[in-house]
Amino acid sequence: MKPRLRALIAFFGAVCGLAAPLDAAGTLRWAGDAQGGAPFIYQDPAAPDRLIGAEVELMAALGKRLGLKPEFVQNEWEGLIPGLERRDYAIAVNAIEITPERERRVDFSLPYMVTYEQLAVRKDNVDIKGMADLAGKRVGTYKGALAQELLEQRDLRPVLYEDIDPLYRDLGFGRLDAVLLDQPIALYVGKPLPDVKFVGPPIGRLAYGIALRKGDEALKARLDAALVQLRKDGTLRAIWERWGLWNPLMAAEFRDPRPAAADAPAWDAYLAGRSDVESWRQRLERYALEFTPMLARGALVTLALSVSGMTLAVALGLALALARLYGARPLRWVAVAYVELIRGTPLLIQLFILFYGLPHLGLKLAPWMAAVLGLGLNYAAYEAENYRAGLLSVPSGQMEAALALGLSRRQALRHVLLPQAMRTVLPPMTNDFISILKDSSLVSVITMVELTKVYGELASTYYDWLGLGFLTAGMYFLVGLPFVFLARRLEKILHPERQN
Amino acid sequence: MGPFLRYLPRPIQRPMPDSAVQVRGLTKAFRKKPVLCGVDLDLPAGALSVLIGRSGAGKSTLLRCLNGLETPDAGRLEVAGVRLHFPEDADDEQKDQAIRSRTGMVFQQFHLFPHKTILENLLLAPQVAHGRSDTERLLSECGALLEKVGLAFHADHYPSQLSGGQQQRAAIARALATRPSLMLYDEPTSALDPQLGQEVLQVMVRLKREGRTQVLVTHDLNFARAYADWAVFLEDGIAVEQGPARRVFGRPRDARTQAYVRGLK
Repeated sequence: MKPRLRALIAFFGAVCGLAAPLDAAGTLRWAGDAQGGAPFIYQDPAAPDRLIGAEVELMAALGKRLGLKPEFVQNEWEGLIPGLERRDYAIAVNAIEITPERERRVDFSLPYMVTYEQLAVRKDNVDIKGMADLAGKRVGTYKGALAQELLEQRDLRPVLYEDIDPLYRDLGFGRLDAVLLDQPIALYVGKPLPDVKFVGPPIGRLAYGIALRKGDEALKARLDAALVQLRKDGTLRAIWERWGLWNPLMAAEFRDPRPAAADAPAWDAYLAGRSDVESWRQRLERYALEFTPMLARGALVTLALSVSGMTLAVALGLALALARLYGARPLRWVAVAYVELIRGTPLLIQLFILFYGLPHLGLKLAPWMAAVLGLGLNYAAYEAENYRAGLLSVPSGQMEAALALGLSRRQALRHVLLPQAMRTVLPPMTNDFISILKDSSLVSVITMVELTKVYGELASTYYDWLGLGFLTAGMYFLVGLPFVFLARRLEKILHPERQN
Repeated sequence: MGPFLRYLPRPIQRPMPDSAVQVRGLTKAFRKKPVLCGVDLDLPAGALSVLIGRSGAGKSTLLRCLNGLETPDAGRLEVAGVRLHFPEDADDEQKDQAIRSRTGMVFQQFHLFPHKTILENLLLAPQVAHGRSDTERLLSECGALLEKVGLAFHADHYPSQLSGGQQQRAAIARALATRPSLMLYDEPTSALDPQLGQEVLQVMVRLKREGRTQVLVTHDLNFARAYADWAVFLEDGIAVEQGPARRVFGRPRDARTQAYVRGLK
């Protein structure tokens, strides 16, 4: 890449102030997905601003051992490894199983936990007792988990979920016959549900490791040394015992045959938190005082993203429409190709390419930059067509009259055609703004935490998809509303002759 | 006409005044269908000329060639002192704009700018295209023009609030605001009721008395007969006959002109 381009990107990164500093001295940036929920990384139900979980404790212990301050970076679970390759953080820690496929892309530390897959069914189910009984049944699991592979090896076609909590809910609702998932998750999310039970023996063996970039040997050596020490001094065992997750596989791996401690205070606290029945008053208080501010912060991100993205789209769209209608032939083709290509491909793919793909070509965009660019470039294609429709809706006599009066084409466009076209363009453009507000939820795949992501995290912490759902929907509605009024005002300005 | 105008000097009538428009061998085809097939004509300065003929004879196309809204395939044009040779000067934006800034065009469908008031319609071209910044003077000029076309009290109205006749008169004022030396009218009354059309024609008569050079494409032979100084009869893309209006209407020489002028009498 040319140095000038690189400098430009660095400049924009600095302006946005969001380009991740790479492992700033004294900190250890680690990534996980808080929406994955208990027991690994989740929001403390008592204070949802705070993250708790076994892996949060693990990172605290590791940080202490390494003399580094752990700094959490939120990312979607599937994006954890691509984000590592983008150098957004040094390590990824979130129940990532060590598998041969993954080892081809990243390096792993020594395992910090060993566990197994657990099969769960509905309480009233009597015909599923183990893996052998799953043929022809609807089995659910988490997308990308080792369980998916185990099921596919047996020619079963699992139903894949991107959230843990709904997986076990659907088992209860009867949408699924069985769920196969890592035992710690099954224990925390599935077991407490009244109509879910575990069946069959432990299946397979899975080891969670800390993922780091290939070739990051020095860091790997330090992490491994620290993990060995945490094993030796019992810190690691203490964490797993606290969370009720110490198991025989781990005892063998860590060569620590002592029987597990009888009490697991973290597990007890978790269960107590789940079974707490809140009064209506408490619940309302929590909605008003805790959830609303958190969601509002997410809504601000959503709003900022949408306004920036739409500004870009409105400007670029106009350029595209003018190029297509009045440009020289090659320019026209470029505009047509752009519109068709962008319109014809999913926004999600475009975001992935911008954020995780471009770094392979040496262009690393900050999450904020990539999100605004992704939304803006995508919507520009739609805005271009809006403008084109608007410009074509102005009778051709208007251009002729302007030219006949001695105006140049450019002047005619600026003073005669565009002001009239805007009247046609404004309503669909308002539509698109409302639409970009909602589409902006897709940027959670590139580590941005916006309104929908906050909802997902809170809902998986409190197991409350309904009330929080209404609250979130209301936020989207409220955020969009001022723009609807603004558009109405603008429409009046563009139609001055309607005033009297 | 106001009493003031009565004391202005009348234009001197000469048998063949200087020509404001010269056309030689002009041809134009749309998708290989010939519309103009070698038009030769001269239109006198300071006079009201009419282009007459049946629908499809090429009158409007010829008029639109005179200010570059259509590009001829071949031939020569001299309009208000600007010379154009085709095809060499095709798409010469500079020459097109030179011609346009010296001619005013009035369309059948008015084409006022609906998002601007009548006064703003008048101001746009002088300010934007001609870069006039003497706002005070421009405003008083535009006010005078609106008064001339009988719209002094409609300056702040939007086009959609006016009748068709008023809109067309506003369109004439808008064209005049650029101080053109030549006015072109493309069937300005065809879209109007006869009564409203009269208002528009009266404006043209008034301008004729001021000695303006005007070229009118029309089917209204009664008006042409009564007020035109010069007449050109077109048929099948050729200027079949041209001359002083009195002669062309009174004693047409060409059989086709005779048939048209008498047939529609």
